[in-house]
Amino acid sequence: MFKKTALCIALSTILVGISAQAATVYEKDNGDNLKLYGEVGVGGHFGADYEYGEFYKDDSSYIDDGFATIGVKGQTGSVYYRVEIDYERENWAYGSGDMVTAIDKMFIGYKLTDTKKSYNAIEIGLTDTALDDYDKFGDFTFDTTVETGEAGDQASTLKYEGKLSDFKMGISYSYDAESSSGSAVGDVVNGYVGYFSKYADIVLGAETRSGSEGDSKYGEQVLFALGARAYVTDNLAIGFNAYVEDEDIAQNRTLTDISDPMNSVYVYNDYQTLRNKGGLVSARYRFTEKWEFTGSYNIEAFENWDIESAYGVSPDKEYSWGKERVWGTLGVNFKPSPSVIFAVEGNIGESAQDAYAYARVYF
Amino acid sequence: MKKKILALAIGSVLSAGANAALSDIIISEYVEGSGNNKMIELTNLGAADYTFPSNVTLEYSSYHNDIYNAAKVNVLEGQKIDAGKTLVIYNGETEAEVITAIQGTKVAAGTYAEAKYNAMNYSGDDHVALMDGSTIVDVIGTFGDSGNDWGKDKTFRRRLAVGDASPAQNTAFDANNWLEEPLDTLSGLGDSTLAPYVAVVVAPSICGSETLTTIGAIQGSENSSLLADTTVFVQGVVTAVAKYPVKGLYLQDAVADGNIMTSDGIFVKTSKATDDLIGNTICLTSKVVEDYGLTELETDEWDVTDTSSSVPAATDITMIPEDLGSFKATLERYEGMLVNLPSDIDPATDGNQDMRVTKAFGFDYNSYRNNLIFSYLRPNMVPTQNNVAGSEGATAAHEQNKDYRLIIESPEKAADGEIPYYPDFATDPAKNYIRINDSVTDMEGVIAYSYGDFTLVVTNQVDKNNFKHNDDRSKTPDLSTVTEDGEFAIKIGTMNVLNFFNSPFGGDINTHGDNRGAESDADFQKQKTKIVAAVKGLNVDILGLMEIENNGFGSRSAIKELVDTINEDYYDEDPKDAENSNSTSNRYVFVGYDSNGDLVLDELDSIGGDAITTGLLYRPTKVSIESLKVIPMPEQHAPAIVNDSYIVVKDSNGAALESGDNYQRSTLAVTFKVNQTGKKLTVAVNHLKSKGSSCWEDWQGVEFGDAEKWSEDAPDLDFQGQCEAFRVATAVHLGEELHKIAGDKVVIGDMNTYAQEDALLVLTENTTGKALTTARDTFIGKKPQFNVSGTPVAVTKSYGYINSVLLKDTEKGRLSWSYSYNDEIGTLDHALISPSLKDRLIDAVDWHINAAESTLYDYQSKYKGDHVDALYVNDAYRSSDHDSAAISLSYKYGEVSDGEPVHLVIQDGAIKIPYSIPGSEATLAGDIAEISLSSENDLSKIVLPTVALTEDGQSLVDIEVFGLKAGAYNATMKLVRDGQLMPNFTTSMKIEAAKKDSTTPKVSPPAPYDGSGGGSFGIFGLLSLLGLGFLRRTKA
Repeated sequence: MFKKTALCIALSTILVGISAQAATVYEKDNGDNLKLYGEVGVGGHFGADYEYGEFYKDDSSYIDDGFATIGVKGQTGSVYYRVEIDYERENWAYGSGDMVTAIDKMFIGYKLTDTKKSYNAIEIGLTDTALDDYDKFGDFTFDTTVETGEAGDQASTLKYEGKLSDFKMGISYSYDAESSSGSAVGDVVNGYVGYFSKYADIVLGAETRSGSEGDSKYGEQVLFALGARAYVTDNLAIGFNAYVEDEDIAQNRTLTDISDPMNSVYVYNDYQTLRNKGGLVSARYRFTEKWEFTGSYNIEAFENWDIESAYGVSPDKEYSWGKERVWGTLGVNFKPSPSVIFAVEGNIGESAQDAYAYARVYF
Repeated sequence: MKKKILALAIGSVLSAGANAALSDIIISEYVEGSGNNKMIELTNLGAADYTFPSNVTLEYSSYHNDIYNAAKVNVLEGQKIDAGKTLVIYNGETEAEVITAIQGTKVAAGTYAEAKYNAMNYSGDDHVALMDGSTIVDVIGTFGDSGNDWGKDKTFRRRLAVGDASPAQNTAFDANNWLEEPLDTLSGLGDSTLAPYVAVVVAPSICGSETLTTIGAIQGSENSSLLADTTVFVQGVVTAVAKYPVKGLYLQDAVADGNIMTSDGIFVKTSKATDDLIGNTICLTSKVVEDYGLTELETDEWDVTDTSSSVPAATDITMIPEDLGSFKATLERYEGMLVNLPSDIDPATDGNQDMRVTKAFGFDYNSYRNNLIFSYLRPNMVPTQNNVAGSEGATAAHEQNKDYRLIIESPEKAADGEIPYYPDFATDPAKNYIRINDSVTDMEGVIAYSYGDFTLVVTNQVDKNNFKHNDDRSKTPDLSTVTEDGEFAIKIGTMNVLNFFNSPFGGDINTHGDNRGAESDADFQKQKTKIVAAVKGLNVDILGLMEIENNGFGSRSAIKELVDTINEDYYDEDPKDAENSNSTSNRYVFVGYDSNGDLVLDELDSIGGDAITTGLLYRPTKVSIESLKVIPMPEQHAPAIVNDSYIVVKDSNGAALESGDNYQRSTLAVTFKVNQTGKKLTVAVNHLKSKGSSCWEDWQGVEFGDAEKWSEDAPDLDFQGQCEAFRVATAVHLGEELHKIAGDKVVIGDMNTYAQEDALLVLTENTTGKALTTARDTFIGKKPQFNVSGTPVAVTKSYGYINSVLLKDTEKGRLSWSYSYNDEIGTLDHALISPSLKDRLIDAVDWHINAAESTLYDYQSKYKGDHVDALYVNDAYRSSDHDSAAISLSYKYGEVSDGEPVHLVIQDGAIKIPYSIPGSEATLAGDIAEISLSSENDLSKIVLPTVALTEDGQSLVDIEVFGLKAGAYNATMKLVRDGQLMPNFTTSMKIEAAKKDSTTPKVSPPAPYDGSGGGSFGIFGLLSLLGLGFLRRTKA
């Protein structure tokens, strides 16, 4: 699930923001409102490589990444809420490859304060975890760069977000969180602190989780993330994004129940800490109102890739890129109107695909 | 000469009508020619014709083969020899022209195709005899002189007797009566003319008037004779005639020279000596020969100069100060001499220094025959048992073992199942046993020397009085289980069951390899009986097994068959008899492992991929299983060993000498809850790579040149056998994996490592700081164990386990050993305890039922001759090759750690709650113990008794509570005295009441979350992690 939200956030950095295109169902004088919004996207990945563990199949030609979402959001006094339904292709690793419908967001929020200088709100329900909003901060590209493996959207989340002057912060607690594949990871806490200015923004994030206590391979985890942007000129921005993560992964499992043949139950044991890290620098150049170019340089290293690590893959299964991978992206965005974008992003180096092409319309 | 025949002929005429008789028939010519040209000529010396009846035969060879004709009938039967004439019997395949050349009457024997072993196929070392039934009438050659080719490629013609008289029939061969002719001499065949008489020339006396040299002078007081290469004339008494270690006789001065520095005896190398020489005085001449350290004489000729002499009395072996403590120096002074083993060899030292058995009677792979080996003063310990491998101490121990060794041989090869000089052994082996470390006295024999070792060739008969069992047989191990009041003992043992395979005898098939165990069902039943006796004798609560067949956990698995058979002997179900040896409370259950993850425990499961595996039995009345872990052990994947031309070197069987791929068995680690306590105990059962295997490291430094085949053993300069570096890698992995399991640990099993060898130093303590290195290219599954390059790793860490048996034996001043190899003993079967258990250790022992005993007591039927039944006894002795080790640990009733509940097993509807009365104040007899329980469970049917203390100072009361269901309870125990509550004695405990583990093992014991990092943080823990946690772990 978090892949998609990552993309949404990425887009929100490119586009004006979803609010701008929303259809207003009603809006009262006191500010209470209800708005309908959504998006339609077509496109996909060219030359995808299964080995990188990002896609559900090994298809070098094309993997569809069709996506649609429709949502309503509203506000009643200080209370705000949102329901969003996605129709998406499960094209990620271990996904089904089918188009599926999923409720992506379902939460109620309460604004404690909402002034130009200060904003404080809490949200409860199925929503982005706090760090999810900024995990890709500093990356101007679409989809094919380093991804910080934070918790993404989670049900049963309590989130606080606040803003004071040029500073923003957020923190969330998710009860019984799940991985993207639905495995238990325990409770998750994450958060960020950011400073935003006209010339540069910087966001520091962190996440930790309690682990599944033997229910899945996922044990405890601690993650730190850093994102930054600098606006060099009106048309050129450069960014930086990096993370480092210590994640406990079980090395051993024992089958304990096969009463449901489709869902065998294991007890996971012998958790060992694996360190994953990655970083990128990216840049965006706005050529005209409608045309812009993006580029990035990425480095990523998962301990599991490292044959020298006691917990890495065995040498006979070593990945083609070794213990770390380096790749670059170059993209072109064409925005004929503020709510439409055509994007093509090419990859070079040790990347999971050759290119990504997409068209999206927001409403 | 012809006159003689003529005279006979005349005589026969004169006595016309006289009956021909067999007494007139002689063998007159013998031909053993080229190819199958073999002929025997018989001559009728009588005056009448003679026709052979059916009972007169011609036989040859030590098998008494009668010679038949083509019709498989006695070739002589019905044949007639005319008076004064001959009959030639020839081999059925004799060349035609040779047959034609035979004059007179002739008859063919059957060919081999026709008559098989009754063909005429004597070969030159066989006697040929004319037989009347079983009585020899006349013979050429000596019966039973197999290998002595007196008649090969020769012709012999009978000589006339003195005065040209007819020769008499000979019932024993006398070469003087025969004229020897060269190969293929056929003259005279069919002609009754005999060879001329030749007077026997009496050879001059060998010694004549030569000056005699005493044996003492030949031997001298040096290691080598000063008379070497000098020809001497020697007279002495024959003390022994022996085939081993070298064929010959032993000669001793009739009168000793009284010089203790010189031997009075000498070995005479000859193949001609016979036992009847013993006691005779003979005189001979020979050069003095130094044959690889043995001073000897070499001759096949001697004169018997006195048959009335007798063997001198054996001399006690005595160590003298001049020997400087070297037993070889002592024996050198007795080389070739008849000696006796006294009860005190070194009178100058306090106490009795005697000879000890260091190898039980059995096969010696050096000499390829059954023998015993003794050692001076004590049995030979493996050098690396008490000295760090590779140390000077180990080398010194090796040298001392060589110095103290005395091989014990019989003059003739021992018949299967017999000890020739100990006849009572075969008569009643169960009573007349010889064990390692027995003291041996008053055994007599001659001292021989061969290939660097001294041998005693035994000349007297011994019985059980000659052996003193310093470590006698014991029906159970001498293991103390004495605890303080309020405590009890848990016993843990290890047992190598020497290939217990039931797959060929109705058991489940073994998918990992072929049978290595019993070769017949009868032998398997014997093996099982002996193993069951050993398990029952060992009588431990947790037992690790090695070398049990890896054929799963189904109803016909080896481990199930073993446990079922053991449990048959535990049949008394009465709770009151729970302490009896036959109580069902002693029953075992095996630990099953659902290896294929189908949640069914059956024949498809296994532990590791070898034909044999490790296993574990336990008593559910004493402990309850909590979890198990099968730990795969390192594999080696190194390059194959090649010669200088990069060709893979092969062994003598044509297989790769060292393929570089080496495997070993998985470790089975089981965590138990100790019943009646809240304590956990992990027992890891191991069977490490053997010393007789081969690993890449073993061949380093060997110069193969261009050799493609290599039959020599790998060098073993540090006495650790093969694969020690691989075992080091294994020890590291075992240490690391067990480190992941929290709590008290016992590491048991056949580690194939003596106490001071590298792998044990890793697991225990490397006190001398020896540089320890792993093997190269070790893997855990497909993962490199240490590094991808496969470089060997220096091991600087030790895991601190305590060698419990060594610790206790050292306290008791005893030797630790569990295994006998060649003539050295040491400990391969260990019980190592984590330091946390040191204070619990009550006792630890080896139980010498196997290594100390002769292999003749084992279950196998082969190589035991006529004594198979006598040698087999349905007891534990020699049930395996390894001795078991057993340890006892003390636990306090109700003791807990980390708030764990006390694990109490429901038996017969009740649990016994241990009220361990706290406080220093003394209790009094008559005080009343009371109990109250609280639980979420239904308590309505529970009967809570009060129990009166029976003695002053009693610190433990078992409160039996009926009607309890499995579940969690809180119990509070109080003491009431004279109606008054005594608050100082009040205590409470958490209880986990559980059903006893079934004697049918559960599919897979639960594998609870091990707390290894899968998580256990609450919200505040998580928040703190964000602040501090990033530095929480640094990986090595």
